[in-house]
Amino acid sequence: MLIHGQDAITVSNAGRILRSWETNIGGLNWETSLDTGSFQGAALVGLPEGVKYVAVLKKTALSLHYLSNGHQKWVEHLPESENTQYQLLYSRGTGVIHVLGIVPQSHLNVVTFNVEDGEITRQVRVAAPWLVALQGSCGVLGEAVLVCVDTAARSLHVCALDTEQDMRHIPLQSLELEFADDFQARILTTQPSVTSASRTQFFLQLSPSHFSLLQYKQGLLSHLRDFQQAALVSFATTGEKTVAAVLTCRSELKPGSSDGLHAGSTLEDARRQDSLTCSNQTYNINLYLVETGQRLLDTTITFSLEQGGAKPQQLYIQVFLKKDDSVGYRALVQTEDHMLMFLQQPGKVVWSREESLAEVVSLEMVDLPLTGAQAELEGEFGKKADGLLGMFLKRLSSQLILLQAWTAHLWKMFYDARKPRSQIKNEINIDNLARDEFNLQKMMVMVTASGKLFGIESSSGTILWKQYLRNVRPGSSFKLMVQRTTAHFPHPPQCTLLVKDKETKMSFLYVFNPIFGKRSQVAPPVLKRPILQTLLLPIMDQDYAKVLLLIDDEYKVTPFPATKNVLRQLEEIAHSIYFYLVDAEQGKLSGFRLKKDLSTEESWEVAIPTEVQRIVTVKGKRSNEHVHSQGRVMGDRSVLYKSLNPNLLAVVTESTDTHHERTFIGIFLLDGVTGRIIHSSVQRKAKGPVHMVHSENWVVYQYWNTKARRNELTVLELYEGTEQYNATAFSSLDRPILPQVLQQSYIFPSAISAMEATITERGITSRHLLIGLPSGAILSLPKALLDPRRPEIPTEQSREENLIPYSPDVQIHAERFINYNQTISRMRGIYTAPSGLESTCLVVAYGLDIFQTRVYPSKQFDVLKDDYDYVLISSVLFGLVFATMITKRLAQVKLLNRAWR
Amino acid sequence: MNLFIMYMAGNTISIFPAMMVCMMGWRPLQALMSLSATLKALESSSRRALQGLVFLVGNGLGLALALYKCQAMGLLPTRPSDWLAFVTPPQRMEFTGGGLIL
Repeated sequence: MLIHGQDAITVSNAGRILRSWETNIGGLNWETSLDTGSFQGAALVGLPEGVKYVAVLKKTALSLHYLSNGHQKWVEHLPESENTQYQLLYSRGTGVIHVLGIVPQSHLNVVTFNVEDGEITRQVRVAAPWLVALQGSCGVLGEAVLVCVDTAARSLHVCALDTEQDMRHIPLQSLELEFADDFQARILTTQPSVTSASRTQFFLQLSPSHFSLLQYKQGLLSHLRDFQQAALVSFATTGEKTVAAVLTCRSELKPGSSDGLHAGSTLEDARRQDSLTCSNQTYNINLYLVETGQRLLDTTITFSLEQGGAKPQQLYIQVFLKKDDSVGYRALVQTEDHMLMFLQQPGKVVWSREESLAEVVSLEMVDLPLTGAQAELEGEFGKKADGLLGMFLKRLSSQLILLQAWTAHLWKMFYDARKPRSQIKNEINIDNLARDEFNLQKMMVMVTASGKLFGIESSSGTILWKQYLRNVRPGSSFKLMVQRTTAHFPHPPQCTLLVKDKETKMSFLYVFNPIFGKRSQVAPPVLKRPILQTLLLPIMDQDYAKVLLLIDDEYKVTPFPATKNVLRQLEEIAHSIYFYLVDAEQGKLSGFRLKKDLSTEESWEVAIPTEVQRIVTVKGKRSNEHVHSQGRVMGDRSVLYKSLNPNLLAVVTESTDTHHERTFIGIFLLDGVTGRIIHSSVQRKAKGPVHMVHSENWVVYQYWNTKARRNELTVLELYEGTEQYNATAFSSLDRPILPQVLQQSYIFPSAISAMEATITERGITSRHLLIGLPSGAILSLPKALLDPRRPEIPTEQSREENLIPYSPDVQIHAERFINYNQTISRMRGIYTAPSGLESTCLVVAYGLDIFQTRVYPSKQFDVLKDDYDYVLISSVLFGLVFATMITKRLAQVKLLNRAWR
Repeated sequence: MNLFIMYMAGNTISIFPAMMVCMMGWRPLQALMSLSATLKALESSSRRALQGLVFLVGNGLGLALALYKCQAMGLLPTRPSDWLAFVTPPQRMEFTGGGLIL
């Protein structure tokens, strides 16, 4: 992105579109499409009277466009573009543009174009056998002087782009600058305005913490100032003054990471170069005048970051001249964990933003801990019976505690009512977190792609804790599992995160407490081999932690926790534990059975050849899903039993041929234990991306129909028939009859970003499908609309069953949006969780924004309405009771009197 | 006459037929409960046993008619869909887990 005054120029879509934006209001000024070619760089080009053009450098051509309307002035082919990589553009208002290309280890090509007509005015080949890349090693100073650093020879090479043909060699020993080993030296230059020359001062980075300010003027190189302990540098210009801002660490920079959270030694060795950390995370930013290297007084900003957190990665300065002509500035610091901080002199944080929340990868909602009184109640029911007297005394004591809590609550209410409203604070902080009455507030644990974990409270969205994991490289895959919830007081809740690096394939486990965000005391097993997948079993250890099984690439299983109790339990049930692993690259699904000694043997394999189709998604059912009714009631009062196979997998494949006549998607329903294909179907002339929901006994998937050019939804439901095969136990090994599959398709008027089904604790509430639309709205569609038994011609029986007659259109009603006017941009996923109330489901949608709400698919049938008239009903009740008592007494008196007459 | 009343009160479940059926069922029950009182009143006649038997059978028929009406309305739990709410989910014998290779 290039900025000139009010305009910002962007090149997007891999170099295909050039756009100009108005920075004040965000409007688009103009847009033009560029010729094809891989994008290398862009620069503003100006003449002495002002900036008029923007030049775009592609792999083979250079084009110049007008800044006012984007029209192309000229486009020229670059010479020798097959073997030369053109990377750098430079102009300084003299009417020519210099383009530098490099043939690695051989020479540089300097081509000079005339701005008016694109004619090549000068083309020079400069020999540079030591140069490997232009970026970082070279910069343009002063009046078009190219300076490059040669790390191996410890010297600089300079060349005037306008006049000379060879590089002058300047050894750096004379300046007594020591280069660090193993570090590629870098050069940083600055050009205050595109219409004038660059500055003749530049920074040379000799080691990760050593910067040197040098000047090359009129053929002479001089050393201005040295900066040790510097982490980042940045140039900025205001008016006539150019300053350099240097970020230094207050204490000594030490190699190796501090007591942070990192993997074993293998990952650390690989990154020794960048692992200099500031031990107390306190930094200073100072300004220096570039002409002299002199430090400007009163320009220090001091700030500190969290201990064990990320270190700064980028520094941007905004300078301005104050009234007394001194320089004032504000700094924007970007840290490794994608956090932006805006600092003001002398160290105040104006704002800070957690930008890693825009890349949420995985999300789990964890119940909040119980209060002391609630825990007592739970404890009463959880422990073993102590005999009649013991239980009675325990009941008395817990009632006393409840009474105390209730009086304290009443007192607090009374006390608060006397204080003015403004003084009552209802802050949520991590110390007084407790479960509310209906378990509607939960702690959302979010894992982001930068390796930062957040704990966000769901009712207000406040970030309660943050944790940054070092050594997580971009592209790692994460899997978050909840091993123990807060229901087992006094054991702390426990979550496990598996992080797998993409390149080295090594993984590590991070075990933490999701309520406080601190690392757990339990030590996870060290993983020596790459882990392929995990399985969370419902069997628990003695401290109520669910057992996690990790299968590695030698197909051996590691359990966590690995106590004797767990190993004994595993031995007993090992014969009924199966893993399924899907290799999308080879198109293979394989099933493995666990043996007593925790190794596995392959029990089935399904090969889907990758020449024709590739596997896109594999989804099983959610483990905490509870199905309330085992069948559907028919019109004649018989039952059609659902085929509820908890081991069923839904596999979606897309064809490799994407031509609109021959493309297809395939759906396979496989059993995870036997590998038997229960159902397979192919949808011709259909294209992805396919979004799928697999729940209970149905699968709903969405695709693009290329023939009819519309989005379609298809629902598949599996039924056993009118009799259950085995009502007591379900075993995949004993299912001789295949279920019946009923299928129906509908037209959906819009594309889909994300799709998920609501879930409740008991499964009594009707299911709704939450569909995220690209417009930013979330539609709540009742599952009853997507029912394969919907008849085309309604009969008496179908009316009995309340089946809506079939119509191919699914309409999007704006009343069904659950997020009113708060649109969520670029939705990537929707997560649903059950709450304490059966009617309520908690929904979190994440993407660029994060949105949390509660949905009531069957309205709030288990909660009294807001306008429930307590006063009227209780007064009528008490009135009638009194009236009854009084009239009964009167009647008795009357009867007695009559008897005595 | 009871048969006629039952025929007129249709098969839907609304207040009038429900009241009719309830009355039809309650009266024979009440009469059967006062069996001992009726037998005492019949002591004087000669064919006590036969009259008692006819009383019993008549009330039984009335009760049967009420039950038949209930069945026609669909109130008796005779079909499998009535017991669906009590069907427990089958126990899971095998556990599976895994997915796309991480």
